[in-house]
Amino acid sequence: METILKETFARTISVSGSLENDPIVAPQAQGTFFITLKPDAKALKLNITMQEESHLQLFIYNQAESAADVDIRIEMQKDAVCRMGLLDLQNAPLHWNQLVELQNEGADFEILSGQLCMADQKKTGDLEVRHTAGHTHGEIRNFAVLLDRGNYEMVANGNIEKNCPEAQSHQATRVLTLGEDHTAKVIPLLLIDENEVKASHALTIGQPDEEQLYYLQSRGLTTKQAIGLLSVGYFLPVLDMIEDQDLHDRIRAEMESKVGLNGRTSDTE
Amino acid sequence: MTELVIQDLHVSVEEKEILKGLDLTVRSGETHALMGPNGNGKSTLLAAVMGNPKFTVTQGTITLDGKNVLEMPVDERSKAGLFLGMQYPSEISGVTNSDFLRSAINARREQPIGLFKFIKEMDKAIEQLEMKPDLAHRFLNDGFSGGEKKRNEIVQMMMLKPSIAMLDEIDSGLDVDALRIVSNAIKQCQSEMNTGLLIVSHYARFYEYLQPTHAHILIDGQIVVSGDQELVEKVDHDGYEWIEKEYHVKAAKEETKQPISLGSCAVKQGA
Repeated sequence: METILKETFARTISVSGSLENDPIVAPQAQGTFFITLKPDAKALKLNITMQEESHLQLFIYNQAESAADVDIRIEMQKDAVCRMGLLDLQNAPLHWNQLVELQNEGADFEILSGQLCMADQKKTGDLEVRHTAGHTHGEIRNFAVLLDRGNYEMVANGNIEKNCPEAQSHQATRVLTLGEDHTAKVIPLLLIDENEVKASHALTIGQPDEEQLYYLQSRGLTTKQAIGLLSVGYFLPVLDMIEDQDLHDRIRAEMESKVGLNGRTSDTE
Repeated sequence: MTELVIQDLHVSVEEKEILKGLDLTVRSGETHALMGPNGNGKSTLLAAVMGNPKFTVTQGTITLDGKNVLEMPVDERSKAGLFLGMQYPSEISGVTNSDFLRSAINARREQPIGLFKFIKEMDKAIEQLEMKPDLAHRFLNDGFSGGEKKRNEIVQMMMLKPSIAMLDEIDSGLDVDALRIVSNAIKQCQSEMNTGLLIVSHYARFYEYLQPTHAHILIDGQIVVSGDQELVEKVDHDGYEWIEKEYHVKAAKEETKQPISLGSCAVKQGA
């Protein structure tokens, strides 16, 4: 299904079952596109074309209660700007595949993802930001929190092709491991076939600092609550992409509940 | 009336005994000054009472109103009414002061604190400590100056309303104005909640503000002499040497870490 987004838009979609959508963001159009994967969602396939000087704020919020596939292609033309967020706190597997092509000068793409990985539910991501023109900018920032037996795999690829001078590709993936028996596999890739570029990658995988945990506990937070608070801190940059304050607050409350922050809870709960 | 009772406390760090049989009782409304040369166990005592896992209690008891503190995890000690204002508070990026404090308050309540009430209380504490109004939205101690961190500890104390508060060199890093502001806030908190205070500091000026009801000198893991404000003044004037002579004790020397050689690169030996 092809949709044309013109002028100023604020589009909201809830996905039940499967959805395939091919939105075209018209030249100089700007707006927000908020997609919720409902509890019964199975698959989302998006082919987005961003035409010249278009601006898009894209956010995907996963509420699917069983395994879901997310497949996204974005083609960005001259001076198109896209800010994307993906928040996935579900106790269910997610297979996420995404290719962004920066096809003309001035194309600018940034993604922030936040994923909570719970017991035996595998989250996989394969993201590529491909620069096929010079003077383009791509940035990937992934945040993941792994609880007991959580499983996270992420391939983040910044690909600058030949004849793309002054292209910039940056990426950072931060994984906070909590509990035991978790698996994290992150492959940061920079494929660069051009000399005059700026590129960087950063990766951290590790447990919370013991001093920080003690400090939080010394103010009355249980281990579970302290870890929950640190987890919220990890996801906050992603959540803060949501401009609608009511929606922001509602999702934040859901997030706090999922990481065990609400009310007096004990570690044995 | 709350009563913190410490009896025959022995505490070790990495198998080295720091506290060697310490007795101390702190009650509601009292202000105890704890002094002593560096490296003799003052911070160790406070950390052990709070339950810092780096410190191992090998002997003795700590009770709060008859309840065994040593059996409580750290968070339960806080919820029971103990508070430790730390010498080096942790910096936690990503967690805002307001989220942290709201969570800490809610952790000790059946029903979450109302947002309006929370904001009002936090604004009051921030104003009292003369901190910048954006404190609530800044990440916890992240990028704070030394003085801001110490003031923030007192903001937390005011919000959490402990029955016994321990302050570990909370005056270090404060300029003269900040010292007065922090002292006034501590005194107000004490007068409102009848808090018992156990205060570690090297400086008589801080104690002048707080007017301790009791003073103790901790040397080599034991309290060797107790008194009142006069004892603080004498130490400020004469140092600790007279105590070592009079009470036949020797202060432990603070260990300074020496650089360790990791070896050297291969060098060409001359023939």
